[in-house]
Amino acid sequence: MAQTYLKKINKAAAAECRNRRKVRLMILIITVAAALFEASEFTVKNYDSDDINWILFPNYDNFFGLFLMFVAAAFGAFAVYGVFSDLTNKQTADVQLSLPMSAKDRFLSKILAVAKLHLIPLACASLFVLMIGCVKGHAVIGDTFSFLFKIHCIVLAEALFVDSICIFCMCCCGAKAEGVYTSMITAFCVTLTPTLVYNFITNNFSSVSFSEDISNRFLAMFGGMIALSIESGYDFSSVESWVYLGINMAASCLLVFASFFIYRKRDGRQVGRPMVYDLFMELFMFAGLFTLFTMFSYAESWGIGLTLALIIYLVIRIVAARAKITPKTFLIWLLKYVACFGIFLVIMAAGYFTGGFGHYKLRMKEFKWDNADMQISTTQYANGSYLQQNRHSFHDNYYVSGKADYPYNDDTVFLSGYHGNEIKKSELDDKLEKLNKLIDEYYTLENRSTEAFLDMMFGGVYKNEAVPSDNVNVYISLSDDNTISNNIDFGDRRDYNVSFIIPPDKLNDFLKDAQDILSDETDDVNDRIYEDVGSY
Amino acid sequence: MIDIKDVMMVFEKSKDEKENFIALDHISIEIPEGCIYGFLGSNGAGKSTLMRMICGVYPCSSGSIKIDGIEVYDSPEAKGKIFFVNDETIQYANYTLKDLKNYYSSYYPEFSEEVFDRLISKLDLPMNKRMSQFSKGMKRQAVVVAALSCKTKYIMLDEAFDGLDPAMRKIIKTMIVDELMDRGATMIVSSHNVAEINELCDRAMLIHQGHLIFADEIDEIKSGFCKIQLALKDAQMTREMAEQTGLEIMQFSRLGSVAQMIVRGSAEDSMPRLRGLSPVLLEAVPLTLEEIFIYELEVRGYGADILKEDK
Repeated sequence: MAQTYLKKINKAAAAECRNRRKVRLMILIITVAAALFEASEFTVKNYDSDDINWILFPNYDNFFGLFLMFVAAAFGAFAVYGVFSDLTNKQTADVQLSLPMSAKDRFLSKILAVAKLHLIPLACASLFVLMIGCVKGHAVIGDTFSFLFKIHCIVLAEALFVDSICIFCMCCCGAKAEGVYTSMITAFCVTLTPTLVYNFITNNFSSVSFSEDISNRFLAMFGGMIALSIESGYDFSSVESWVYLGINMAASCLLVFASFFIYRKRDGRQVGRPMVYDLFMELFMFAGLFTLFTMFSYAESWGIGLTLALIIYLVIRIVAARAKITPKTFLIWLLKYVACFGIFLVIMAAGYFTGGFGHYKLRMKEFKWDNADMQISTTQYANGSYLQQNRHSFHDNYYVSGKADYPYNDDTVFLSGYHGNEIKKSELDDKLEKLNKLIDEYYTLENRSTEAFLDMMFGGVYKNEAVPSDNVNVYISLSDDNTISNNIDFGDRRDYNVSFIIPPDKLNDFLKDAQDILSDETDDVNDRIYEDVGSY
Repeated sequence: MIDIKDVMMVFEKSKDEKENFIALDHISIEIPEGCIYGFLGSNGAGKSTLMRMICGVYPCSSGSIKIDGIEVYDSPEAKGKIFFVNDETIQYANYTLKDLKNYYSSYYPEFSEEVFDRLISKLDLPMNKRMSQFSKGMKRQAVVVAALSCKTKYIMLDEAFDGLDPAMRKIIKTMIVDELMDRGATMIVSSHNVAEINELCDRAMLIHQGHLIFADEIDEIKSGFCKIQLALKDAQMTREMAEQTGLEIMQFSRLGSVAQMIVRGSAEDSMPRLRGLSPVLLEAVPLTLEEIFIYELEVRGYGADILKEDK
């Protein structure tokens, strides 16, 4: 029974594929070219390592083949638009909906057709490149296989993402034009918005930057940002990045699954109607506007930004309306636009008043390497002028002596007396703990105000913190790097920095606390006020 | 049997419309097996909508449509018994006949390659040429051949003969009738050509603005109407006089002293009533289906405004 059913689905999928010969040919040409180029473009090099004497690692002489792979992944859109044309074309709907199949059978056969047209050729091309990788490099030893395998999983995940977004949008739209532009815009928004929002919030609302902060990697879970699952550095076997890749693919599959329920609810009556579901239209418009607003948050010119967003918004509304537009309709559109902007501001305000949704609490927990650098500086602005300021700074640089806990083993002993500023690891840990307590004590969200938020939102990206005229800006930076051991080639430097504002009445207490931790290196021991020093 | 019971089709209003559009309003008909059934109706009456509902393209807003006892919407089993040929062939533009054969053979397990090849060679259609290069008649022939090859119990043709020349119509009709009669299949056909329905079908139904006007065997329909010519000796016959005899007059006209009326009812029932007026001339003429179509729609005001303006 099940076999007969699968046979039926397979036959229907084959019939769909036969009808999409041109798309199949296009995808095949691109994937074959991509596979050949990619296979010829990478060479395998040996890298010396302490742990493993030789690592076979692929090196791309040219990225054209890989680029073509991603182009082939994007071409899935054409396959989906063709296969799901029963949702947008009345004549095709008449034929396909009257065939002896249920909506579920039809959907399954179409998914199989998309897989046959797009995903399977791409998977075959990837397999070919992997086989070449095994021949050129080594199937087991080294990073060649795992690197290529991961790259091609990413290509497949991209293809799956393109297909799923296009299927979802086609299921929500009754006209091909709407299916095409909504899927393109939705893919753009899903890919970009989380990254834009994350960067804006961490840069502007948290002001904490840490090179080991891997929280941005979760962005790999969203849409086309899958490539982020290859983290910086060369640890390609990282379980974490595979998890993100898996989540990204699962999200795409989930979207296809959700599309199934939408597809099943559709019938011939909605074919030709631009937007079948009002909710989809509103969510689509909101996602688009949110992305645009976030992009304009980076720029200073909100006047142009809001106008441009409004024009794009109205054009899409008019195109999708296809009906008589009355003043009332137009007014409702404008109100919805204002509501979208309001929601955007509320979300951003939530980010601001929670220090980037709690990101400001991020700390460097320990110094991993032998060279530790710590610095605190304060700048007091006089009457809000950048040209009249009073600076203090504290700075210490240490080399760890004795046995380090990480990453070296117990037998590793550092050369004694190599550096002047030697310190025990335990003392360094103590200093770091005190420094983190200092940040905890003084970096609070008490001084955040609506006025400062609006000033930051509409004042431009370059003002990381809105600085009231009588406040003090504190900048703390920590870094460690590996200067003694040269065994490890990568990941040997970490930087942490944070900037925040304290009220002037707390400055003396802060300077005292800072002095207890680090050496005083006041730039200007006389606390002189700089006046009009020219270009700064 | 196709059992259409109390079916309604409501298209929800779009944003610029004030109310929902009722395309079909409580339609009930039975289409027995082995007959040729004609769907008649004015433009926009709901014929194509009903056909799409019968083959499962649209669901019923209320009521039910069953094919051999199985609800048709979203049922592969019920839909496997019916083949729908709509009024367009554009969807097959990129197909060759070979593609068409492969396409339908993938979906209909009973598909007969023998029938397909036989009919195609009989009609002398090119097997490897794209259908976009076919003439309109050739495209129609090809789709009808595909429909017949699927060997479904029911075939629906939506305005399948419209726009074809008389010779082509005859060829296609003969081909269909020959094939269907051999296996006792049912054909449902919609057309604006009432004479053609009259000639081809055993049964017919007429819908107008979503309402069913009649549905019966064609002979029964015809016997339900008659055209009577009548002249009185000393007076002029009026519509009121005719109605006073208890007849339902659909149309009344007079030329000189001879009155002509279209009466709902058989000649056998109507003539005795009029004899009471002692006419000098009284004769009944049978109505064609086309005349019934026109008079029924005229009674419902269809085209009346346009005709008035013409006058």
